[in-house]
Amino acid sequence: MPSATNKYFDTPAEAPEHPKIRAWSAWKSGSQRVELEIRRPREGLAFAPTRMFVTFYADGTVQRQDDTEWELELDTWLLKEHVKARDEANETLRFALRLKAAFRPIAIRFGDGYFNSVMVHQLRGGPLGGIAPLAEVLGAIHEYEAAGGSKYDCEQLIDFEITVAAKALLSLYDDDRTAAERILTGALAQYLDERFHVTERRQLGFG
Amino acid sequence: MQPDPDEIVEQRLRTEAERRKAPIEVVRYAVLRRGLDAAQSDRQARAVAADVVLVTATLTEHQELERAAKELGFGFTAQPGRAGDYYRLGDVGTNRVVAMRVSMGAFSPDGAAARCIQARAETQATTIILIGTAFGIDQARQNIGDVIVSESVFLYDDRRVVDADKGSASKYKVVYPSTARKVASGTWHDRFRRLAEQYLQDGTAEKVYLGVILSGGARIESAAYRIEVVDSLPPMDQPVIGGEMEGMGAISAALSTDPYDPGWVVVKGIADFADAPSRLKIEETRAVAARASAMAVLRVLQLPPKNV
Repeated sequence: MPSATNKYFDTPAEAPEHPKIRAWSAWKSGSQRVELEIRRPREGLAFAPTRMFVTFYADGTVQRQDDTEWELELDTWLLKEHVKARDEANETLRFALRLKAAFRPIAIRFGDGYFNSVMVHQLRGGPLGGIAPLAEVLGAIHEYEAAGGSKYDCEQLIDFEITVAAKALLSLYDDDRTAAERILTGALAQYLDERFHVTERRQLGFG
Repeated sequence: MQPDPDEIVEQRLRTEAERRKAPIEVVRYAVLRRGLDAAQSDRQARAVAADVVLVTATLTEHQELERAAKELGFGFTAQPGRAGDYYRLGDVGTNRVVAMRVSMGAFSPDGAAARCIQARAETQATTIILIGTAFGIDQARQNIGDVIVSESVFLYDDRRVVDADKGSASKYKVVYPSTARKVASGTWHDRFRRLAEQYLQDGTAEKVYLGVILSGGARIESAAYRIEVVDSLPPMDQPVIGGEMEGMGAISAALSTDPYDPGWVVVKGIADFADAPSRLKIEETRAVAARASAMAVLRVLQLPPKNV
């Protein structure tokens, strides 16, 4: 016999809000501008842990500041709230991190080798492949062409994630397509550089 | 009218010669040489480019990998790299695979740490798989030749040793930082789980275990020490399934990657149980374990993508 009242069945399912989002949401309502800064310094061949710093301004002065480890959920909330990174280089890093998180399940599903190959070939032949700095990074990667029936599915998923990032940038930069394209190209270059150790190769003298 | 490319090159050479105050032929030679060097370097880089690097430590592990690769129809061609030789297996499934051998342990100049960092940069591989032999933990459940796969690696040398609390039977206690446990690549966990199921279905003698692998600099040949290390570990959500000596090296190489998306995994065959009796038979068991690990990895690399 079912229980008379049961919170699991009788109340709507609502995901609890991230505590940071709760706080930031309250602080944002009392401020006029919010700025994001992502810090991920290189330490030799490694990176220090990625952190995000959020600053809330009112009347031209800083009202609040908060920092935490970078999380996709927090960044997505900031993006939804139209919060830009402090400058274009930082926005590029932000989108490189977002793309990395978005591509991860695709790499897991298709396997490293296949994903690498499809990704590089798709970008080389795509509309951004000839634009610096992506063109330079693509030139430094030695990938072969993928073969096999899953290529189309893999390409579709990669395209989808790049399109999601492109649309998010267009919305964030009020349809400034030049800025959006520049940031997206840079973010893809940064993602590939890290995945294929392009800067690391140079640092170690492998050319 | 289109500018003549040859004339553009000549003009640049003349400008460079004037800048250097050198004869144009000297500049032409320097440029040609640089171009040839770059072309050679590019050829070398392409020859060792890979998605996956398989790393072995002992000669037996290397030989068993070669034997397994050839049995399954793959190559094993030596290819010189800038920091040492690679062995090209070719395309295994959808992955370009090379192998390399490092010194045993993680500390020597050409040990796992240094070579894995160099190999990752030279080959541009996105995954490093450490294969070879390890010790098992549980003789009641595990057998020689069973395969252990790291869902995580516990660096048991990364510890603080302090005086024991008053009244304790021991003179000291061991405290591990949370960073001592490193999570391995999730990309490969699922595939090794599929292999474990496949082995069960096929009735393959070897079993595949996924869990925590201990990694440290000590060659353990004492059950008492093995038990002491295992007992000193903090509680974990996965079982400890074995231990080895090179994992920490590969992890050093991978530390510069995203901790949520690490590019390494340790896959080893059980050759002994880190105690005196099982170590007595190590000459016989090493090859069995090395072969089991090599076969498991080559099979996993051939698995098709999930749900496709």
